[in-house]
Formats: sequence, structure tokens, C-alpha cells
Amino acid sequence: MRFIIEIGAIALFGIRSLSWALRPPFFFRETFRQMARVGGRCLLPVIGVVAPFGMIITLQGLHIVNLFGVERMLSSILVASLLRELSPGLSGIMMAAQAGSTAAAELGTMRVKEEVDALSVMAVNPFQYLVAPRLIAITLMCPIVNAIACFSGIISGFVSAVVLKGVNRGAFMANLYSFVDIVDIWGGIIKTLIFGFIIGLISCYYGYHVKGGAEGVGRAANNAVVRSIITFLGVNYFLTSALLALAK
Amino acid sequence: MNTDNRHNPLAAALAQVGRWGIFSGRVARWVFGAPPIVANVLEEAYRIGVQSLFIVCAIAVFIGSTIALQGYYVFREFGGQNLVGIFVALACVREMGPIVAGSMVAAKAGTAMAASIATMRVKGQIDALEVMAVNPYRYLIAPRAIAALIALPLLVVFADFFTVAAAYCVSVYQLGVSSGTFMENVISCTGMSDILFGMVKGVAFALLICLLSCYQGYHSQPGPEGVGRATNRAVVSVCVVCIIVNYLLSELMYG
Repeated sequence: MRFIIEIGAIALFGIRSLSWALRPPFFFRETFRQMARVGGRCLLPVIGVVAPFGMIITLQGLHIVNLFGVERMLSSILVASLLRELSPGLSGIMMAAQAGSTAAAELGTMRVKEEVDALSVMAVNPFQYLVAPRLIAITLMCPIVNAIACFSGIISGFVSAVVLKGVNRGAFMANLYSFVDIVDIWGGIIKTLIFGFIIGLISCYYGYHVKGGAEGVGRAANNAVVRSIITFLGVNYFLTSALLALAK
Repeated sequence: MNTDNRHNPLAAALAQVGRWGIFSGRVARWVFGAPPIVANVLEEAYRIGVQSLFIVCAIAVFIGSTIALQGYYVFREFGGQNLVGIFVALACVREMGPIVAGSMVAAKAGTAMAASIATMRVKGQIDALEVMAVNPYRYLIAPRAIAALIALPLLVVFADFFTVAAAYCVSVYQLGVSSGTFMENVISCTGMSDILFGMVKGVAFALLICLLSCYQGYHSQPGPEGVGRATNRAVVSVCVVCIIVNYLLSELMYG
């Protein structure tokens, strides 16, 4: 029962944030500052996770393609799986861990120190000044970080396959995009936009509604990360079904 | 020992690694060198193992179903879509099971460990323990390490099962792969060694999660920002290091 109440509260929070975000005054500078922070701090963790994963895919993929005797298709499998699924999913998880917990912790600290109330007293709407910039920043930065991460995953897969395992370099480069359709590329962008929105919304909700001092801040950051990951991985399954059916 | 490395980020990062190494050495001394405080170990094992079980299984279901979908469409390119069981068995049991268990325990139990130890540090409770002649490494951190070592390999097995079960449901009921073919492929491609290697990965992840999260919590900065920042650094460093260690272990075991 509490679960359903929570979902309703998050949805209402989201509608309030969006409606306030669309009304003046607009805090453009704050939004750009948040976008720079989110992108700058998330890039390294995301690359640090997707690049080793590219190497893992080539490692395990070699076993599978040798079973079928299609070693030249190793790069196709690498790029197809990275673009469609692994890069959006892993970028989402690391964005939730880094940007989501930062947003929740910052908003929570501000709530605990009563800075949010101070802003309201000064007639600055906390939704417009605090929540909307973070929400927009995380939503817009997720596809950008995902694209860079995907590129790094392909490079690390190349290094692992050609340099470390001795796969034929020409065959690898020639077959990179054999399985890739344009639907995969804009599907990845749509997926990461939706993931970014979910992460931003849930993190800002838990940060904004912190209760109970320093312990509450830790708990809010924890909840933000865990619940946003569960939500977007669940949504991911339905998005994947839809996009794969479209790509046919 | 506390030189000022504000202007030299590389030296600061290396100093952090060194400090973590010293921390891990102290924890290892109390994990292996003294009898564990069983009450604390059991309480932490409940918190790490049982309370992470639901989220590990939920994420395992989502990831297993997505792997089945993706594998089916990729294999359809060269006509092998009925052999998606092979792909599911290799990907889920060898890689995704340990990674799902490790990531979700890091996200839930790891951040909880970092947050609770950081809160204790911020409220001065760790100093109070030292004043009462209770070693905080032995009382707080070693039980968490032992509990994680017990809980995580078991969670890896749960994750393995739920990813393959979800992949089975998606393949047979949504994609139309024959159930007998799927199960035959999964069983023939999965050996006991795969599951055991997964549990070894679980042990490695358990150590990393506990040591990194507790280190960030133990050395957190004062105030509620300190708690938030400790939680943040804990989960990010754990995820990155776990994936890199996962690759190295996979190279070692399957390369």
C-alpha cells in the first residue's frame, strides 16, 4: 500500500516540478551550471564502467562466435549489444549512482539546514531554483554521456579483441555496423532521455522530502539510487520490447 | 601522514589509495586475527543478505528478460534464434549474475554501510567507542566484512537463477522459442564450474564493497554534507572497481 502512495507522491512531485519549470522566472544559468556539473562528474564513472564491459563482451563473445564459426561477427555483436542495451543501462546505473545521489544528498542537506525554507521566505520558488535545474540537467546529460560511453566501449572492445586476442583487425572494423539500424541509435537516445528523467525525478523527490538530520540525508541518497535503478530497469524491458519490434 | 595535496590531484588520488590500503590492512587483522563478534555478524548478515534479496531478484528478473530479448534478435541475424539458450546461459551465469548481485548489494547495502558509519562518525559515536576501549574496526567493520563474505556468494546464486528463469519465461512465452530446446541449451552450456566461479566473483565483490563503503564512511567529512558525499563516493567507487575486477577475474577464469 505504501508503495502505491509513494508512486503517487512522486508523480505529483513530477507534475509540480514540470509545471513550475515552464513558468517564468527561468534560471538558465543555474540549469547550465547543473548540466556542467552533472556531465563533468558523471563522465569518468560511466566510462570506467562501460569500457571494461566492452572488454568483457569481446571476451565472452569470442566463445560464442567460435561456437557458431562466425568470428568476423564479433564486432557486430559488440556494437549491437552496446548500443541497444548495455550502454544505456550501465550509463543509467552510474548516472543514478553519481548524479542521482549527489542531487538527493544536496537537496537533503539543504532541507536539513532549512535553506529550502529560507529560499521560500525570500520569495524564490525552490521548485524553480533547486529542483527544475537538476531535473533538466540530469535528463539532458544522460543521452550525451551515454553516447560518449558507447564510443569508449567500442574502443575498449577493439583493444581487447584485436590487440589482446588477435582477432583480424580488418574483419573487426568492416563488420562493426552490420547489425546496427538507425532505430538503435535514436532508440538509445530516447531510452536515456527517459532514464535521465526517472533518475532526476526520483532523486529530487527523495532529496526534497528528507526528514531527520544527517541520517535522513544518507537514507534519502540510498533510496534515490536504489529505487531509480529498479524503476528504470523495469521500464527498460518494455522500452526494449517496443524498440526491437520497431527495428524489425 | 596528512600532507596537503590540494594542488596535486594525482598525488591526492594516490594518497587516497594508500590510506584505503592501510584501512584494509587494519580490517583484515580483525577479520582473520580475532574471533568474530557473532551477534554483530548475524545482524549485518541479515541487513546485507536478506534485505538485499528482493532487489537482487527484481533486477535479476528485469536483466534476464532483457538479455533474452536482445539475444533473440541478434541471433536471428544468422538464423540461430532457437539457440538463444546458449547465449542466455553464458551471459547470465558467467557475467550478469555476479554483476547484478554485486551492483545491487553495492547500491543498497553498500550505501547503507557508508551512510550508517558516516552518521556515526559525524555524531561522534566512533570517538565514543574508542574512549570506551572498544576497537571500532573490530566492533563495526569486521562484522560487516564477514557478513558480506557470507551473504554475497549466496546472492549470486539467487541472481543466476532468477536471470535464467526470467529469460526462460520471455523466450518461451513471448518469443516462441521451444521450451525443451531452451532448457537443453542452458543445461548443456552451464557447468558447476561456472556457478562456482560466479561465487568466487561474489567473494571478491563482497570484500570490495565492504572495504570501500566502510572506508568512505569512516573517513567522511563533518556534517550532513559529509554523509551525503560519503554515500556518493562509496557507490561510485564500488561500481567502477567491481566492474574492472570482474573483467580481470573473467580473463583469469575464462580467458
